[in-house]
Amino acid sequence: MRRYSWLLAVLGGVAVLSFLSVAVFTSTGPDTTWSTVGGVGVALVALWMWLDRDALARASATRGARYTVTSLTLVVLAAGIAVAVNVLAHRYDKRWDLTASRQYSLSEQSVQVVRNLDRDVKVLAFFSRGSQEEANFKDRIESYTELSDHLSVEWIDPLLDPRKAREHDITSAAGTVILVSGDDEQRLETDFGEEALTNALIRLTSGEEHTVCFTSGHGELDPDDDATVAGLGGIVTKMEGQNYKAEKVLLAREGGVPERCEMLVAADPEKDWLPAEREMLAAYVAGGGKFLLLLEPTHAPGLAADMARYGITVGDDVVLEQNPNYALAGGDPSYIILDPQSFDHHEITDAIKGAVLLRLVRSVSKGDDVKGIRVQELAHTTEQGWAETSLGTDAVAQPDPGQDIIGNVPLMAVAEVDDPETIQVGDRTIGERAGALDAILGTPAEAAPAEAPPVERKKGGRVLVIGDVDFATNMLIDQFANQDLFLNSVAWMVGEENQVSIRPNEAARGTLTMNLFQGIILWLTALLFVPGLAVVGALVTWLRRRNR
Amino acid sequence: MKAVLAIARREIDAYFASPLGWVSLSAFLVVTGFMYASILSDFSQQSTTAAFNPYMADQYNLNNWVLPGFFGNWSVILLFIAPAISMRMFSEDMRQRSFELLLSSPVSSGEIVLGKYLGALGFLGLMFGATAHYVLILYWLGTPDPGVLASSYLAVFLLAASFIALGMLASAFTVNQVVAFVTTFGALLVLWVLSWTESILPGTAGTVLSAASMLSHLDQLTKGLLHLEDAAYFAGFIGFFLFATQQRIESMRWR
Repeated sequence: MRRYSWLLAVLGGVAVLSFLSVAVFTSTGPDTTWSTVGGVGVALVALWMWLDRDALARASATRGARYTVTSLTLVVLAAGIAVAVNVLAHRYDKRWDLTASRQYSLSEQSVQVVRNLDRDVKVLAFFSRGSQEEANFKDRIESYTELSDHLSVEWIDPLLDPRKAREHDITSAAGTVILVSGDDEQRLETDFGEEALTNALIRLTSGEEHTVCFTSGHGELDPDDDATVAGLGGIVTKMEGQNYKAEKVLLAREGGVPERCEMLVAADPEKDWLPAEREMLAAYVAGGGKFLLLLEPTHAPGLAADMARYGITVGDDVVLEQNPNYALAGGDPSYIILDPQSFDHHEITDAIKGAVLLRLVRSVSKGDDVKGIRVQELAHTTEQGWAETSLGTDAVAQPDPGQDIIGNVPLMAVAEVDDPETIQVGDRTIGERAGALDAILGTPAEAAPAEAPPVERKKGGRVLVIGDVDFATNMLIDQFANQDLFLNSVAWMVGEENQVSIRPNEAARGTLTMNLFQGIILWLTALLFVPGLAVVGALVTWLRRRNR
Repeated sequence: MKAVLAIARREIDAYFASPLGWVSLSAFLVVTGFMYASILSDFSQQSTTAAFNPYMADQYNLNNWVLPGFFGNWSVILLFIAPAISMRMFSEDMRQRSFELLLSSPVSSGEIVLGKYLGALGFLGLMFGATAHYVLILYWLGTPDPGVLASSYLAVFLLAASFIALGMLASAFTVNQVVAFVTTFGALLVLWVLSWTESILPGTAGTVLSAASMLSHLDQLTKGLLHLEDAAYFAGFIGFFLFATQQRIESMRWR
């Protein structure tokens, strides 16, 4: 029997190793059967040791065996200590930002926001596993999670978990981050920097919801349409991810802009507004309302002309760009790329990270001065852009001096009302009163201004006009930083502009430029001069040894 | 400590007294020099293109793109260079039968191991010092982040120090330097690719094996982030292999 007792050791060893493999290499861990196998294995080894106790005692009595066992035990112990230290370091990991520019350190404002979190926030990070975007966001979010136990992260690869990706409407290949707290959520796409993340946290925890109303009835693009390329459903979904509620309103039926509308959007009305509706708008803006007009060339000429009331001129033209660096490859000059150099300094445009792609744009510029209203242009084409006014003719489009705006054509402008008294408001009634037909067909001045209901005037009205709507449609909203332009505009209009503004660290830019001479010096030094010294050293050593 | 330093000095002298040290140094400088010049030239060209597109220019950053890429390549070269440095540490002495002399001297096995290890690190330090022109050129041509540069150098130095600690143990087991080289290289390669298991093996196993990989602990440091777990990994790794080598030398004493 004892002759074959070593078999017990082998069987026992195999059983214990099997148990350990299952414990480590399966996600579920060992079940009762595997635990029994492990237990039996230990028992077999113990039995072997007892049966062969005399042989073992004899072997361990020699000096060599004692040293070997002691040495092996110490080595195993050292390995155990090393593993334990690593496990502890992993569990209680801390990190130090060694970059001179403090690239991975949060600003004091962000630290305060995260430390003051009083409810759980889950960050759903949708990134392709192993992508650069995932790695960058990991670096970023770690500096947040180490500050608060209320913040946790779930990493989801949209390709490996398509059900979850569909559930959260993930379309961006560059990643999407959704911050969830209870029923509220905030969505980030394209920009996952500290400023965007901290502001999303602030919005999420503030719990405030803004109502944005979209006008309808004049052929405007549909905010509920997420199926066709011309719909606005895509951007509305993104807005809903940032505590905004979208609602359609028909001004002619409502009799004015409803009070619940914190902001009014007219997304390319194809047909003109009724004069009375324009007066409703004027009353709304004079009362501190916020209005965003996205208007394609030739559409709604009356409404376009009415923007003069707020100091903005909407051109009856199409803007074309001939600078190849600002046009799409392929040469269609009606596509215009705006980059940070195209934008003027403003809270809306400063926060845009990247380029914006517009399509078939009309010019929007600062008009005649209106006392009490500040107007600023926000973006321009390059020197090689112009606003073509000869529309509908067969003539080849070319800049016509004195007729077209040539070079640096303004494409969007914003008006801020400091003195609401300066905005003239006419009759806003439709249908019931005398002069109703005038109100519908005629000018507001003809529509019995004496009967105009009083306006509650308030400072703070804002009007933003952009000479394009395509950038915000389902077709283009996910291109470049188009959504940033729209979402930043909405945020600024409703006063949700960045609660925190974190200045990017210039030192972190890490630029490098090299001319031909510098390139030659680089190659010679790196490949010839310095390694050459080592080669000379090798030769000298070899010669010395040979001559010895 | 005197004995340790004396052994270390003798070790460094030995590297430069044989062509092996110079050849290792030359090979290292030629290969890293080629990579360095290529990466910088490529980045410079791309930067010129990116300058026309500020969005791209913002993304295309010397500290985020060039330095981690360069030092990542550098670490692959060390996979070959470090075993070449460590393979002779004990094997050569054993082959020349000078090791018995060392064992019979009044120097502890711990001092022998530490001395030889410090000697190899000293050679490594000189090797890294010979790349100072890379830093000077970077400052001449661009605006690198000194913190990222320093932590990248620290990363590759810790990596090489770990490689040599493992290689030293392999060298203590064999008289044949080629066997020591191949054993070290094979073991390092396994430790290198362990990080790939994270995407293959599910759950704890993948995470544990990936955490054991050297590659997983290099990435953050080359970006300028020092993690406690990365520091603990390298310290634990080096400490364990030095201790195991000391035990091996000690066992040779009483045999």
